[in-house]
Amino acid sequence: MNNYKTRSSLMGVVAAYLLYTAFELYQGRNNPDTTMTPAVMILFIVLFVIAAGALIVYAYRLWKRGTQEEKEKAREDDPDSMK
Amino acid sequence: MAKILLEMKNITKTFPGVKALDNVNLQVEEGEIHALVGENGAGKSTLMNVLSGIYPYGTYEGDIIYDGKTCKFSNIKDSEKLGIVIIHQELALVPEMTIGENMYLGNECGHRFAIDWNKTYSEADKYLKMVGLSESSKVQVKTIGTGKQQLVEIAKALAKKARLLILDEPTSSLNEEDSRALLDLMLSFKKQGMTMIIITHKLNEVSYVADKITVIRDGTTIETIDNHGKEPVSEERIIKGMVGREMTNRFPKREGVQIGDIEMEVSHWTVHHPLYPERKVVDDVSMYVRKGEVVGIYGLMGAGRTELAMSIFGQSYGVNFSGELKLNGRHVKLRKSEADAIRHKIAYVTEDRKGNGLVLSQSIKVNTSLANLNAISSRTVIDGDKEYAVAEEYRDKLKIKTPSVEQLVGNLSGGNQQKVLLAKWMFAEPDVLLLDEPTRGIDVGAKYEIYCIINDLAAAGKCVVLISSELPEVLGMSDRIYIMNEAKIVGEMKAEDATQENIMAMILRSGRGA
Amino acid sequence: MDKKTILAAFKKNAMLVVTILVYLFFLILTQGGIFSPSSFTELINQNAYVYILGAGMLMCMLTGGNIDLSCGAFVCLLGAFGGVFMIVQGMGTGVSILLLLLIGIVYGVILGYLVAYVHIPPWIATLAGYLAFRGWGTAILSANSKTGSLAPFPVDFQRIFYGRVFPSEKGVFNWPCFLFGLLAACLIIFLVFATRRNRLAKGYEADSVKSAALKSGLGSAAIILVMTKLSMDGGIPTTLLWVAGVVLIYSFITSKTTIGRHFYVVGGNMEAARLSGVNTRRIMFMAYLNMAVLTAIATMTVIARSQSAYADVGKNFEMDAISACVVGGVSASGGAGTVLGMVIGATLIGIINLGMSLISLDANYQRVVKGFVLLAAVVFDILSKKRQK
Repeated sequence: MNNYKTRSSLMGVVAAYLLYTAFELYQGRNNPDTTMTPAVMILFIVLFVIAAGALIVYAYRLWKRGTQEEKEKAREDDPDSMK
Repeated sequence: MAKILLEMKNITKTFPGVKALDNVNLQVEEGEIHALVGENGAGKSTLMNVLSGIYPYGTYEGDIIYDGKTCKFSNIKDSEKLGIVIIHQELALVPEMTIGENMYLGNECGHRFAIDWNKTYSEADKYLKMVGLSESSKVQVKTIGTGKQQLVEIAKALAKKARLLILDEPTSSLNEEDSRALLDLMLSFKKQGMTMIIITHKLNEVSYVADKITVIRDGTTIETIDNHGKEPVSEERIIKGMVGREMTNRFPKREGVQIGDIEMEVSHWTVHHPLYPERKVVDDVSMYVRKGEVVGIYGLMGAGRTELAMSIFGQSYGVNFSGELKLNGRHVKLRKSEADAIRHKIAYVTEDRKGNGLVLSQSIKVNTSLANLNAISSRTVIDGDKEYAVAEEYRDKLKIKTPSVEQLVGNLSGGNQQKVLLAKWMFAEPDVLLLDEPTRGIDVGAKYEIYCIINDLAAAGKCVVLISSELPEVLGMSDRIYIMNEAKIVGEMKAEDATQENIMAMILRSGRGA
Repeated sequence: MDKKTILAAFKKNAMLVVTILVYLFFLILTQGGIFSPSSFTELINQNAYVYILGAGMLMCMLTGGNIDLSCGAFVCLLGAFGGVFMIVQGMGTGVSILLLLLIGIVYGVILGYLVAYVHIPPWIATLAGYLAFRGWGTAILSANSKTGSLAPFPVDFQRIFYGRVFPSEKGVFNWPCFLFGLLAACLIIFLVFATRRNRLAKGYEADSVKSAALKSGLGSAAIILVMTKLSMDGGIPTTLLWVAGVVLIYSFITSKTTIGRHFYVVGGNMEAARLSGVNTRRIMFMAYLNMAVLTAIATMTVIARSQSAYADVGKNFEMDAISACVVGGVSASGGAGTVLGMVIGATLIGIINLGMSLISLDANYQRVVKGFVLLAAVVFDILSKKRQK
């Protein structure tokens, strides 16, 4: 899926999922069955939140760049317009 | 001698393959109303884009000297800071928001995180009064008519502390009364010392408000005329300035012109704007096309030609349709469906090939067959080989330069993309082709090839409607020409009777307003 | 073959290569455990829903990156209904299946209408389902059972959606399955070479004999391997038939039919599609109706396998389906995604899931791995697009 709209929205979905995973980790922090130490848990939670944030920023920039390029492409054909 | 507020000196702007502005000069005195006239594509909008900073410093040659200082704008905000504000032809208001919110969009009172709404609304009311609006700024924009919305746009400009106000076709969506009111408002602003540039093609407006008139054609300044003389400026002089160019012979000859019976006819065709249903975008249009004929429709931007074509093509644009459509002598009621129009052998070739004409992410092959998939499939199963063969056939017929029809359309040049678009519609085997600006943004060589294709279509007995903003093109290719202005047909002439001057005259004389 | 062509082949089939590498990785980690016959069966049975939902999700994505967030919760709801029909009310299996499909259709019609004709953004429309359906399903389950789950489903229901086709005793080599595999392998070889001969005859470009032999050779080898393993574990799993059916049908639809073509152009440029006579609203409608029906089918394979309907069923299903498409879309050679891409993506995720459970990886770590896989797929996509520029 190549156009910028699809890519941006999928990145948004993945970012949401990463946040959800981080949340799940956080929710299961008191679970005695887990072998994950609290330190490692915090590490991954932080990692995922940062990754999600980065993805959201990238998706936003991609969207902006995409709309900008579309406008420019449209103007390419018709330079004398006030669009 | 009054002070010169703005001087644009030797402005040259080039786009790949096209010189939009060539050493353009413009001088605007403080406190004057300066009219900028020219055809579509003449360069007026490009010039204003340079002035406002949309084309930032560095992307053009020449100087902008404002208030005695050379300016190097990098974006709109820079020019607005100095009081240069443009009001565009298309209203840029958000209908759901209030007047006050619209006026201060991007320009809010207070801090970025704490907008002072009381101040916003009271300031807004102040400016609304200045433009003669009695509405409160807390009213939603969509509840007031277009005439008043245009005034809100002006109030918005005033709120930005405008010193040089640029109005782009300000009365294009207004009725007579509102147009007059707006022009009077301009005159009252002038008394208060505001400097204004008005871009318009309405001669009556020009003679009513303009102090000076600058005529631009093909990217150069033709002349600047003073409107203070004892006699009003002659129309002929302006028209000649706008279109008086040498007609070079760059159109292929029409061989074997055989014009037959009327194939398509519309009568009293009226269409309303989808967002502003009180506005007519096509107003009581009646026209016809005959077999084997090339009918040109000329008009300035916003005249309603695209709307006319799209509304005929399965009501793909507009609301509240009325009028009759006859195909081959029989009344036809087309449903709101593009597929239905295609079945009735009508094809609409859009003016915006990249935006809504082609699927850039797919191959030439896929794009070519798109409007007529049934011809290359049996019971919904696509015959890949047939599709490939068809694409190759059109590639050869239209001389599309590509190593393979599997090439993605997005990678082709503009001219070749346009040919793919034409191929698609030719493959749909229509009887009537509505071509909307088919040579826009294409190099000279490809243009000629497309003209040949158009001639071949006509020779094969098809009806070709050629919508174009290029006067020489319309004159060079058509058998008959309709002239549209402000949603109406204002003239019809045979090609042999038409000249650039009398076509343009028809438009300029027909405008509403003063 | 020189180094250049090998490298080029790798790049083109990146995801396939990754899948093989990941498999080898787990092969080592599980000390061959993942290569056992039961693992093959488990991979297919555990993962069936990803393939089925993935096909539906792919169709939605093709229309322009739209997704269905409600499918997992809908599985829970349908499972609850199924439990009520078959276990509580004791209705016949056939009737129940039809009813479940009907409910799927009803939801699909409503959802399709809202998305296509009322123009509600799909992520909002399906978010409603995501939030509401699980609660509804859980309520139905608690109203009908003390334990909050309904079990067991009737045997004939299970036989339709789970179990084996032509079952054999444990330890006995299942000949029908093996022969089926041989047949499929021969079919692949035949098809590849026949298409090649066909194209050459018509004067088009075709693969060289070498690459045709390689493609069909690898493909048939893989099929024979899988089927042999399955033969050693009791035969063709029923879910395999369902998965294969869905995959083949949707493969055909997307690559060879006009309606499949319509999906691709609606996603590529909706306005251009509309102006070319494509009924864009109908395509959007079909995308979501289709998704709901496929969800119903997936539900039945899932509840047949777990033999019960419970409140947590379907958790994360939508993300699995989306992941399969995202990971798989990355491997497609430009343009929009394909069914084959989704299958590879789903298989990769299935191998990772299976591998993790075979080594009894802690649930938290499993979550982390799943998140990383998605993140890696997205990053890979970003980097590959960057290099293209």
